[in-house]
Amino acid sequence: MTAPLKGAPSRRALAAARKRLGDWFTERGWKPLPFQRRMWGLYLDGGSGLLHTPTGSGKTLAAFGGPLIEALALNLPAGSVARRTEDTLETRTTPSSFPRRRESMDVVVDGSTSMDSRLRGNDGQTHASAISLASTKSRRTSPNASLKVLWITPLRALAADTLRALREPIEALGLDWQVGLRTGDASARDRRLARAGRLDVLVTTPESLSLLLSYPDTSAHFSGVQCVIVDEWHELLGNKRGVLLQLSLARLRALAPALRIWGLSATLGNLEEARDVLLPHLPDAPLVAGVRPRPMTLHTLIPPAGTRFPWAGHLGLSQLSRVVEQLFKQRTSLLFTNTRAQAELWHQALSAVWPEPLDTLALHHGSLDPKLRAAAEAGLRDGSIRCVVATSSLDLGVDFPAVDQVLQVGSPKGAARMLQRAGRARHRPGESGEIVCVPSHALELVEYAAARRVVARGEIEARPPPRLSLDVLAQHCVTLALGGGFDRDVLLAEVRGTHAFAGLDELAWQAVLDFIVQGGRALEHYPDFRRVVRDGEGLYRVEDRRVAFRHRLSIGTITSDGSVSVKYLKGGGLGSVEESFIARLRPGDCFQFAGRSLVLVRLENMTAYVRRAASNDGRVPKWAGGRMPLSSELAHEVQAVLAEPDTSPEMRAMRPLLALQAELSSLPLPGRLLVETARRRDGRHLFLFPFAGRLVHEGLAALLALRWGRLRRNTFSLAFNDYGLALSPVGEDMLDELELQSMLTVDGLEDDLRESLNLGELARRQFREVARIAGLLPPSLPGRTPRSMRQLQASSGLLFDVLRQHDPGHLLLEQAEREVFSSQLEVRRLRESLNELSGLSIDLRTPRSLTPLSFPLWAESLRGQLSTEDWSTRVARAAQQLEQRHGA
Amino acid sequence: MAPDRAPQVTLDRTIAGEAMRLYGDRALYWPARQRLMIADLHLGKGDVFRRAGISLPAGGTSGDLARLDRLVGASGARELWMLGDVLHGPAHDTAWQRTWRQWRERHSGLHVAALVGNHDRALARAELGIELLGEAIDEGPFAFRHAPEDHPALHVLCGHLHPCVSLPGMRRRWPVFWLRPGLTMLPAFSAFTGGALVSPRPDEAVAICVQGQLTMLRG
Repeated sequence: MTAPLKGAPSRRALAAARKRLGDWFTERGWKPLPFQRRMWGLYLDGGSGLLHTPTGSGKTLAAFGGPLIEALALNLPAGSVARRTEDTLETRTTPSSFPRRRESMDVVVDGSTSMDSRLRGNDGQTHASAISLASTKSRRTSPNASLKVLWITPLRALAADTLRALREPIEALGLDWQVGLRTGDASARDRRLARAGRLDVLVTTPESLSLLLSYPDTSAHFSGVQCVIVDEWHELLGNKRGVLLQLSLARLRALAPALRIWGLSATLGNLEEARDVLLPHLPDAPLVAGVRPRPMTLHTLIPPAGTRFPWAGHLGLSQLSRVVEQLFKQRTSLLFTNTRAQAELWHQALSAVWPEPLDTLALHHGSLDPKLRAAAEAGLRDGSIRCVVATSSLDLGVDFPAVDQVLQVGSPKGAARMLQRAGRARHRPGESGEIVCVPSHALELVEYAAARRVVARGEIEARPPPRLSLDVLAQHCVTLALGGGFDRDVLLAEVRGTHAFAGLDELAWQAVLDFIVQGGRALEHYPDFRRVVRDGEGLYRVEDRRVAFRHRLSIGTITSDGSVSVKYLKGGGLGSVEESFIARLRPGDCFQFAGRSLVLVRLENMTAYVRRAASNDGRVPKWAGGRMPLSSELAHEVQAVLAEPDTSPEMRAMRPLLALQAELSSLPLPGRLLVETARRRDGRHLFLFPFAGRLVHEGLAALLALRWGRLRRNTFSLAFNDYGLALSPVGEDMLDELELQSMLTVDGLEDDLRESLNLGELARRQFREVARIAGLLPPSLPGRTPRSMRQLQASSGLLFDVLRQHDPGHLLLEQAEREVFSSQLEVRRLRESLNELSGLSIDLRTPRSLTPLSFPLWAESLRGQLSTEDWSTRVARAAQQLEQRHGA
Repeated sequence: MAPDRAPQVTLDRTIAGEAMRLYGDRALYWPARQRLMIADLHLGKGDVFRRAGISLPAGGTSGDLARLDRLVGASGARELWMLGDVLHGPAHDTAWQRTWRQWRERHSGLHVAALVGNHDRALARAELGIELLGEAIDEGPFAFRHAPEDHPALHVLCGHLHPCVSLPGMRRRWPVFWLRPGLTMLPAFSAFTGGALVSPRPDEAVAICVQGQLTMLRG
């Protein structure tokens, strides 16, 4: 190449390039939408910003069009004669389907790698992408070869589709760009190319980006990056993966100051904040509105009158035959569930009654082997699959033009989630999104009615971004210490440039550095600890190869329990399940996984070897983290709908049950707090129904148990759901109205919570995630735990206990407690709720049996315990009860 | 509301015809021989973690040894037998070695012996003032082993598994003595150990160790 790629293209070249892109739209029978044009213009002017638009409205080309136009303008200067140099040669004839490619068909083949070997290394990719490889240039020897566009996607499942979507215009426009993947699923070849920076466009996840930053040679390649596009930003905004990305973006901005950053987001309750978190350095960056969200219609499969419909539960399988009927009304469907276990169960149940060949029914969730997931996606696309049972792994981005209808099993959880899922069907602008809801128990009918109202009012949940996640910061610091080292003050300034760490004070920063250098407190170096060291020039670096190896394995903030990969004896992976599940099985036991009945043959090296089972029974694995709370907007609306039932079909179907609730106890009325007490064979129970969402109820349950236990020392079992909470004391004790009233006070809230945390073990539970992110827990690797790491197995609970005993001020303990307060208990909302509750009059009822509202809480049974007694008393009692139960 | 059966610091029990005493601090005492027995001390586990870049405060070893101090004092033992896995990893000259040597000097009159466990590759060269008993030794009605095995005649005393139980409604697991016909398995002595969940069958029992106290649970 003779002409430099650097420097701005001329206005005329840009105009010509824009026309080229516009022509391509026309060829496809499309017309650029106004917001797409606006995005291109903003990008070409050097701008960054946030686009919010529903999935399937053309956001990919809106974001990618700018970089495409710029590249076209540089590659195809006025005169449109393809440049030739001595070392270029024609290699291929142009496929007739790409008539415009001819202008840039030059392919440079350097001596070191033949085209054949490059294609052979291209495993796991489609034929189409193999063609695109052959038709693009190998530019490894070109001084201009560098990464230009980084496309960041939250889900690995999305990456393959994004790759395809980006390659299409590149090929059609004849750009000589290499597009590659660097995610956990990427081929070895793509990983190599990504690391060496030999791609023009890289599709990656926040974790894989962080991993790339851990290689000193790679970060140099990032200095040429012109554009970062963060897809599905709303999925990252509210969690620690987003925090990790904020830090990586700050690094990229330092490496490439002219970087343009664009976020793509679905509609959110806090869009401006979403922009500020993504672009903390550009307070006035544009917020571009895409197409208006389509109106959503929500139907419910209402159980026929007179059928027995459960009051609690989460499977919804009683609706199976009606679901099958609904599925076969349309050609292809997505059946969404809320958890992976539920997806497995539904797939299993549908298989049993599926009237067509079973290969038209597929399963898709995040723990399945990438190959299985890809097969399901491909089947949807080519129409060979009728129904995919899926979890949130299919919520996002990917366009499935073939999907005719979307079903949702179980709770809607939130307005945003319903909109997103409804949007999966028939992606053509202007059509309304439709979702068919399948209740798994009676109260979900109310949730659907409430969701419809929330959506109609256009209320979308906000996703509050976390702040000061020191565990993520510690991980990032080790990553940079690996990736060439860092200077303390320079990095502090860079880190403070993010939203998450804008308020990082000197003390906390020093504590993070102490943690990665010394292990703990500043005054006392943990003996023999080595992770990060300060070199002669004062740079923080990782010098130990084992530390480097382990850190790279554990980069990422998604926490998972020790995962065990599931493989056939004869070879072929199925995915992974949690260690705690497989540990309960013995060889010969059956279980259900990946839509198959399997027999465990043996367990070795974190791999479960299985074969197909003849029988169709066995347990279904559960994965942690599946219990997502109802959004507080929805929970409040549920109360409103219950207090004044509307005439929706759902609420009409609820009438008999609501009448029963009113007869036995009362409906939750405005201005009153409904409280029920019950005596059952298993003891006495107190139910409260504040309708404040599960997280607030969890905190409230712990708080009330503590205050009750102060009144009379005791142990309480706690249960909570989105509507209310239950306290079950040991023995006959019960609160009266005055006692309860006095406990619903804001006074001493934080102190009491802190005390109940000590007792209630919430922090101990939260510590698992914190410890894993900060590198205290070795990564558990399916199938390949290196020998050197086997001696490092420890549970987070043990680590927590050791730290509590020997380094009680440890920053990660404080982090865990802070997270319990802010995100788990949502102490701010808890305070608001308590304020509200203390002003309500208590409506204390003693119904003769469990009520429609209390039954689900009772059926939740033990969700946790809180005690003002010591452990040995509690263990002694539990042992005694167990023996009695067995003896009975 | 207190349970009917209060937890106790020690439990006396006849095992293979011998009067034995179980300590809630995770040790077994054989009065006839004045021998205190523990399993799975895993000395230096914290150091292995620290050397690998996992920051763990020191103090775990001293905590374990302080508990051992109390047990030696309370039982009046003249011998201490460790049923394997005295060490966790390599025996570098690190902090725990100094802590252990100080402990050993304080108890110079105590005879300390150990079976060799699967973690004890470095034990022979470590010079810790511990007599090595090999991998198996039989004495009286007992077969002392590190790992559980069937024995046709003798009652097996062993460790290795770190037996634990979990109880309904509590997320924690607790170390136990696993009392089976023909075999008694000791809980791991070190506080910084995980464990394998066991559930006693009808002819078995576990003695649960909670904060230094014991609670029996029959299968």
